[in-house]
Amino acid sequence: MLYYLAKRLGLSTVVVCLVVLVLFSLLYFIPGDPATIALGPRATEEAIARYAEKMHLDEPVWRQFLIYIGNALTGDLGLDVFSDRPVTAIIMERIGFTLALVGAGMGWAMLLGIPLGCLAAVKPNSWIDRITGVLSVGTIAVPSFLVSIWALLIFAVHLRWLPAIGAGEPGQLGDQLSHLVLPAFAIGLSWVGYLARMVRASMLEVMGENYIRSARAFGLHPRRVVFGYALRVAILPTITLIGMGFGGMISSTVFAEIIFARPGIGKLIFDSVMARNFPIVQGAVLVATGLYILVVLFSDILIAWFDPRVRESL
Amino acid sequence: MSENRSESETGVPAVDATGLPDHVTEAEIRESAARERREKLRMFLTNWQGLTGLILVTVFFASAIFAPWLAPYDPNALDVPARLSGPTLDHLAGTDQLGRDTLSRILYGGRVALYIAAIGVSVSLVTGLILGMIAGFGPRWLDSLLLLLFDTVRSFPTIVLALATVALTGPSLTVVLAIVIITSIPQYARVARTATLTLRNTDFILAERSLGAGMARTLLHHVMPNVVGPLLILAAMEVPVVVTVEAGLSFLGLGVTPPTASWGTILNEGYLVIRDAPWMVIAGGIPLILTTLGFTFLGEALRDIFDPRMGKGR
Amino acid sequence: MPKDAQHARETLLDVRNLSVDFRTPRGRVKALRDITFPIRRNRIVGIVGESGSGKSTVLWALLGLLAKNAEVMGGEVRFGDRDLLHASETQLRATRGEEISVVFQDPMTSQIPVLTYGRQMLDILYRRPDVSASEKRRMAVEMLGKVGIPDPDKRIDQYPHHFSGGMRQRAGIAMALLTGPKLLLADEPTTALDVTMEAQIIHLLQDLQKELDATVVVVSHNLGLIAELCDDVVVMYAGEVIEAGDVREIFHNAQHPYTRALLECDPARIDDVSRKLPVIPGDIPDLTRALSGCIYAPRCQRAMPVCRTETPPDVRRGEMSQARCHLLEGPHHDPVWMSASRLPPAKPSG
Repeated sequence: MLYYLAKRLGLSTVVVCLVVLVLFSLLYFIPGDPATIALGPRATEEAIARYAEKMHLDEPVWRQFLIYIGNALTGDLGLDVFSDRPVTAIIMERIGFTLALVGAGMGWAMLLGIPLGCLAAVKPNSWIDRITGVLSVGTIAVPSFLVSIWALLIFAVHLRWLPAIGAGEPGQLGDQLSHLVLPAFAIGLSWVGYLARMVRASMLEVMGENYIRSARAFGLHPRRVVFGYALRVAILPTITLIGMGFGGMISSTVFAEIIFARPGIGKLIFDSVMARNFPIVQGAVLVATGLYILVVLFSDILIAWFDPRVRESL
Repeated sequence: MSENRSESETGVPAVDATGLPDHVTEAEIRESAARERREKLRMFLTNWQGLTGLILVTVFFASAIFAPWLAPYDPNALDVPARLSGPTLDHLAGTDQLGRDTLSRILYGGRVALYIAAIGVSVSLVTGLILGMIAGFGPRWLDSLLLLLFDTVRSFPTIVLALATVALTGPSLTVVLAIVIITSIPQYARVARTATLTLRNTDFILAERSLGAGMARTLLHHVMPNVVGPLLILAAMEVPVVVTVEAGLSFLGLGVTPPTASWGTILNEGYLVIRDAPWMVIAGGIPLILTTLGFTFLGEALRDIFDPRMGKGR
Repeated sequence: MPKDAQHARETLLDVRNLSVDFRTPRGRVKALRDITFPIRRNRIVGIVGESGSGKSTVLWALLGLLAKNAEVMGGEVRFGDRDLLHASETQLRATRGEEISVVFQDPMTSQIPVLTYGRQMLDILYRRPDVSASEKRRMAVEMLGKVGIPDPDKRIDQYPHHFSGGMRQRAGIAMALLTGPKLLLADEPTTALDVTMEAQIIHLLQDLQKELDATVVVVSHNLGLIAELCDDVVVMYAGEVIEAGDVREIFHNAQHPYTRALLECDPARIDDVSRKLPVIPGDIPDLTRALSGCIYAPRCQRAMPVCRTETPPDVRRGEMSQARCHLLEGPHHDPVWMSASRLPPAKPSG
């Protein structure tokens, strides 16, 4: 188990380093002074000089890279070009909004998609199975940023049921929740179909297994058979899928945050890209990557927790 | 075991499925192949998903190709007095804030989508095919390395990568294309790799290799024909992804740059005036949804008919 | 009717005129046709037949767990005062695992890999809210010990993949007996095991049947196993009960030509000199076609014209014995056939 975790963690570190390396090397592939490119044409001489010093631009690239990694490990991601505040602090302010959104989006998608997939698998070719099938194809095919825009148009602009932009007043839970509804709906929608379809496929396979027939022959309640036995096995490939698809989730979160002007990491990256505030882009991308890797890692651990065979083979 | 299972589930003792007579002439084989083709065509024509998909895809191609003849206006012709006009007989889908005809812009936007889809899909298909065959036929370590790479790239948050790149290079269609290609290569590579691996150990490949056939020759003559089918189906399913990425990045102002019309830029301009001119985000979104739905339906129908096993892997 | 009353007292489960069809793409398969046999209390009953004879289908029909494309065309399964064929799903669920339990064919696939034996056994005892969890666990440990699993209090927290094939089947038997069922169904319980394991499992079943006073039904195609283990035998062929009765009577003096042919094919009785496996010529008939006459007639060495046109009667002999053949009764009765017993007594193969 420890060896396995170490291996996964090591691998993840490699990925993070690669991302940082790519970001760094991009900076050098582009002709021109790295500091000017990084800070953009609007940056002052003074800022450029400070940035050059701060980023050790006089050093060779590989040293700069190591220095950045070293600093990042101690939680120092550099300074915001405009406000001079630490990038880490800015990211910490924003990350909660992103985590809440991802959690809510994934949460409602799982609460709806997994039971739908189970029902469809338990009664194949029933009306619920057909509806789930059409719903799956439909929601998977619709781009999530379009769902965001249309949801904004219908529920916020036209019907005025829910607030359109922002994340709500700090400290007011109800207000914050009402601001969460639309973006969470938008990023979760395609996942409902995705999960329902995945769970249905693997449930159909598991329901045909001998041990399900055994459980029935022992007179277990159908609920226990479906949710306690079949789903427990069928959920395993679904967890892997959720982990693998989490990158897509982050992508749609970025869109949702921009469209609903929600001050999360995605919006932060976008604004910084527009303002050419490169230290923040770098730091936020690093954090987003780290987040993504954590989720993949978490899904691996979850599978090990659910499946004793995996747990022991580690 | 298997005997018993077939008995209890279908009530039929296992029957020899390969009931081919001993002496089959070539003409008979060709005849049966033709029969099978007719049968598959019939299956496709009676599949509502496949037919809907085919119609939508045809409309997409036709409208993109014939846009200059179909469009009622020049997509970039300004008509400031008629700005932000709602849908009228003159402007069926209204006008934007510069008075440009939305319908004409949508038709021309389809060309951008087609252009990106054609180049993106074909380049990543070919690259993926080559990488996948290398992984399948190459030494183990290379296979593992490539596989790890595929998995990482496939699940990495595309948009974050795109944002970081654009932060340095500025908005451009080339960057969008590059990102589309890089992120969809793994899909094709995985399919090609699996097909190569299964073929690798079949008798006729082993025989051919032992007769001294070179690896390139074997790949070209035997592996290629076997993987092209699944790859084309996959390509149909990847078009929506490509079109969505383009529209999304252009929506963020990171892809196609104004004044070029693209579904993404139309949505972007519409988003800015969503309160005053909701028809723009509606009109801009409909072709996007229809195209993604069309290709998804078509791809799924083709997959169900020609390659039912493929469905599980995705 | 003292005789009927006695019959009812002796009979734990009575299968009467059971017919089951399967709907398949090739048409309806008449998988079971007019199956009748009693299961006597405290006996071990063997159901024997080739694969495809419908012996497992009978077993699943008793549990109400037939495949979805199966349709019960008629008959009844009396169990106490209930008819299991027409019982509600809730009633059936109360019966399954509690009064009728199953030992499965393949312990490698019939036990869920992601739950411990303790969890699985606790689940089986879910109908007993008055028993505490720790008491249930104690029952489970005790039962595991009874079936010969060493260190049951430790092994109970292990998963199926920690157990060898033989141990898994022991655990499977423990799970089946946990609730103290009146009837234990064993579906080819040793087919997936090697020969030494097979003998152990058979003796275990025998011992437990005596100890727990249970009634056991064993489905098998292994005649040696049936001869060694069972008191009564039901011989099935192509979805019909062709002969049934006391094990010694049938092995020594089989009435039906098919039973006799089957016994001759048993590898355990073949002498080593010829080294040739005898076979019954021909194949099991296609059950999608309309059937007339005796089901075995196309392969029967003693087939007469009447066999192809008229369904033979079930000829009863004594309390429990029955056979379905024209040779045994009526105008085609052949007394020489009936008294002939060419076969030497069965040598158990276990």
